[in-house]
Amino acid sequence: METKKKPKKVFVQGAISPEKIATSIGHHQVKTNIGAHDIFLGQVRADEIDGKIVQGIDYTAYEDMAEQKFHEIREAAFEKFDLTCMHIYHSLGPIKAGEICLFVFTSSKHRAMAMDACRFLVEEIKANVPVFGKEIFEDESYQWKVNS
Amino acid sequence: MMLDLKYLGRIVEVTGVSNEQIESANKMDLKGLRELLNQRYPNLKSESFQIAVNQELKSDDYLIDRTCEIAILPPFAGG
Repeated sequence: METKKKPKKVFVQGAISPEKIATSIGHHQVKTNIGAHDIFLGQVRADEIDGKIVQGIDYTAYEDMAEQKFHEIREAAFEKFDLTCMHIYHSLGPIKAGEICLFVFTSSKHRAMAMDACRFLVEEIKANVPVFGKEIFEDESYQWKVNS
Repeated sequence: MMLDLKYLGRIVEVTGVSNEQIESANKMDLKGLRELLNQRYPNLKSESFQIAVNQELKSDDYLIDRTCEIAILPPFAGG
C-alpha cells in the first residue's frame, strides 16, 4: 500500500510490459473504496520521417531532477484531486515501436477525479520532467524527439 | 567557485562531454553563463536549451554566486 508522502521511484529500465500493467490493476481489487480507475499508456510510435521509419526511442533523463519533478507532480495531483492512489512508471533505455514507455494509473471513488488527475499527470510529465528521447531509424541513424 | 556542469541529451553531441567543471572567479548570471558556453562551444548557439541550477529551472537573470550543479537541458521528450 502506498501513502501520500512516500517518494516512489518512477523510472524503470526498458519497456513496461502488459503483464506489469495487469498485475498493477489486480493489486487494487483489495482497495474496495475505489470506484473508478483511469489509465494512460504512452506507446512508441513508428513515425515516418523523411522516408525513414522510427524503430524505437532511446530514453535518457537528468535522473535526480526528474525523480524530484515526478515527486512534485504527484504531490500536486494529490493536493488537487481526491485520489485513493496513483502510480507512475516511465521507461529509460531503448524501447521498440509498439512497446509501452509511460504508465500513469489513477484511482478514486468516482470517475471525474480519476480521469482529470490522469490527464493532469500526463500533461505535467510531458511539459516539466527532463526526459530526452532519441528516435532511432532502421538504418541506425537518429533524431532527437521534442514534445509538442 | 566551481561550476559543476552537466550536459544532457542532444547537447552532449555539441559539447562532446557529458560533464565538466569550470572554475569561475566571479559571480555571473545565467545570461553570462550562456555567453561563456557559446564561446566555448560555438555550435551551442543554434541549440535551444534551459538551465537548471541545483536541479531547479532558473531564468537568465538568476545569479550564480556559489559552487553549484548546473544542467544544460534540451527540449523535453518524456511520455
